[in-house]
Amino acid sequence: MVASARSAWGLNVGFALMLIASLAAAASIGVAGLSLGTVWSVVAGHLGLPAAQVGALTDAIVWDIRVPRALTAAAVGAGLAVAGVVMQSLTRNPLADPYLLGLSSGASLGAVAVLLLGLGSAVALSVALPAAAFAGALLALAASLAIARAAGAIGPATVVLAGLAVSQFFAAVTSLVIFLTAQGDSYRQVLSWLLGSLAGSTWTTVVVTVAALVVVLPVVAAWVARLDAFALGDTAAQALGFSVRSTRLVLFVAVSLLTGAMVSASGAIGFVGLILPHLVRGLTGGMHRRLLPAAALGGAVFLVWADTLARTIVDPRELPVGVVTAAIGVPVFVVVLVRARRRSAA
Amino acid sequence: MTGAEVRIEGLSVTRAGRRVLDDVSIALDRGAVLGVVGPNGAGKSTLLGALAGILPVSDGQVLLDGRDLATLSRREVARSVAWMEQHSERDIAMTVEEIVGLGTFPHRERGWTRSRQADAVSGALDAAGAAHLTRRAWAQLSGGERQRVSIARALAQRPRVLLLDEPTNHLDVAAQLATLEFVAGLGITVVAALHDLNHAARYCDTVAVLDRGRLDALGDPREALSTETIARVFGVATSVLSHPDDGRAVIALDGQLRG
Repeated sequence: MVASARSAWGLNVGFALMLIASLAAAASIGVAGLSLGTVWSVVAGHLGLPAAQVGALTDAIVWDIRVPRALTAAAVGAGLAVAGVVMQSLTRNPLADPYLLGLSSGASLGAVAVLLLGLGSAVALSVALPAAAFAGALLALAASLAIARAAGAIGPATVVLAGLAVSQFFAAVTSLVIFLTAQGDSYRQVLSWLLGSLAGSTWTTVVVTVAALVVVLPVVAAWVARLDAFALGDTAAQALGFSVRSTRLVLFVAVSLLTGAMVSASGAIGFVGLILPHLVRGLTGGMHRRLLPAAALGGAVFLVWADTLARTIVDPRELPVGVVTAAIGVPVFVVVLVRARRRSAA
Repeated sequence: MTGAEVRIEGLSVTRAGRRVLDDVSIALDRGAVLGVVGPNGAGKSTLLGALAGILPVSDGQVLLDGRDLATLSRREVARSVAWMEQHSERDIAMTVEEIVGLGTFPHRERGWTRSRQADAVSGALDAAGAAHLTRRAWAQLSGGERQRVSIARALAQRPRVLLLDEPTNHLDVAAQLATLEFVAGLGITVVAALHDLNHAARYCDTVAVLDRGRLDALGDPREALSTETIARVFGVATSVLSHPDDGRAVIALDGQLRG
């Protein structure tokens, strides 16, 4: 059943509390098991609050590694979920998400290309990396939609097949580029860009991903009613008095920006943008003013836990987080696909 | 509900270098029901799109109660002209109330409160005879119920002109007739692109026959849908009969014309 405004409010508060608890848990769980009290002491110390003294090593593990990683995971999860919600509305396609439509692998290629150009300073890199990933995402999106259009109708199946082709192509080029240029650990690099990994999270990735959310979310929030109206089909939506084309264009660019920033921090993590919107829609219904905030918070919680699982489940090694999200996402994808096909056949 | 007086004067639309609508002129009184018929590609949807103000017009104008559509903003047009969607899409996670609520989009501005929204939605549902569906989920409606809700959605826009593009697609016969009968009785000006000539003959005050972008015939159903016109435009042989009860035109198909 669809939530009323009040219960949607409660849901968001619940998700927000869950997110705080998840961040705390993620900072305490790991090879060096730390108590929540220790985590609090470190965080409070850095925020200038009164706190107990902790050792330098513990401080580094919490403040330099786990906290930025958990925050990056939360921001990436939120960003990918929002990107998924927006793509699904704009394409009127329940299977649309930044990963399936090739945006993520396009962004990966952009990021990898910049890394291999070897821009000297860290500051230049922290700007160039997301910018190139954004360009890659835009390119991939344009390619997917052009192929789908050339193949006829932009129905769910066509878009997904076109996205698959584009995604595979960009992933192959990314692998090739890494193998041709990198030495030593290139397998690991390929895996982390193509499957996604939060192992490289730093305070810089926190800043980049949060900044992308701060820029893009207000744009999306301003147009929730338009996102709702897309459900009526292009013509009827247009006849409500706004330009469907320019709305779609602006939001496609916004989603590419979001995806680019997220992928530059974490590589191409799949299925978050696909499954979170579906799971959350079951709780909130399809009105975007309720769906978007809940999907963002839900995506954040989901990815914090998926990453915590990825870095602890085969201790002492680390799984790419994309393996975990795929393990959960693929069955959900199958259910959504079967349902969508049944409905369109009925 | 009141309809608008619609004057289409010398309207032409060019798309990709091709004239898809060529010098079409039609005048409609307030509350008139116009049926637009013609073979596929004749320009029916283009005419509706131009009336909705969503297609660029290359020549001529559309006047709504004397005001040129081209001088109005999209939003202003949307406050007078509604387009009723055809829902083949069932997979929308919204309730009937929410779907109908989308119709108020062009009216929302400062001071558009929650209670005004609720009033607009319940008013539209009442007017469309769909109040009993208010709390239902869209995905669980039957084809006929969805059509009723779509009418309510369009009425929530408080239109003076309602546009329908082949409104009877995907519907069974009872729902087809219910839709047309209902829309024709609303009292607002209606322009409907129709496939079925008998629907046009039965429910429309005026019928416009389009052929390759040009207006071939215009008039009341019996005038516009003559055997000669139908043969020329559609390439089929028909006999136009009179309904035994009310004398309205009934078009009997005799078969395809050879030649």
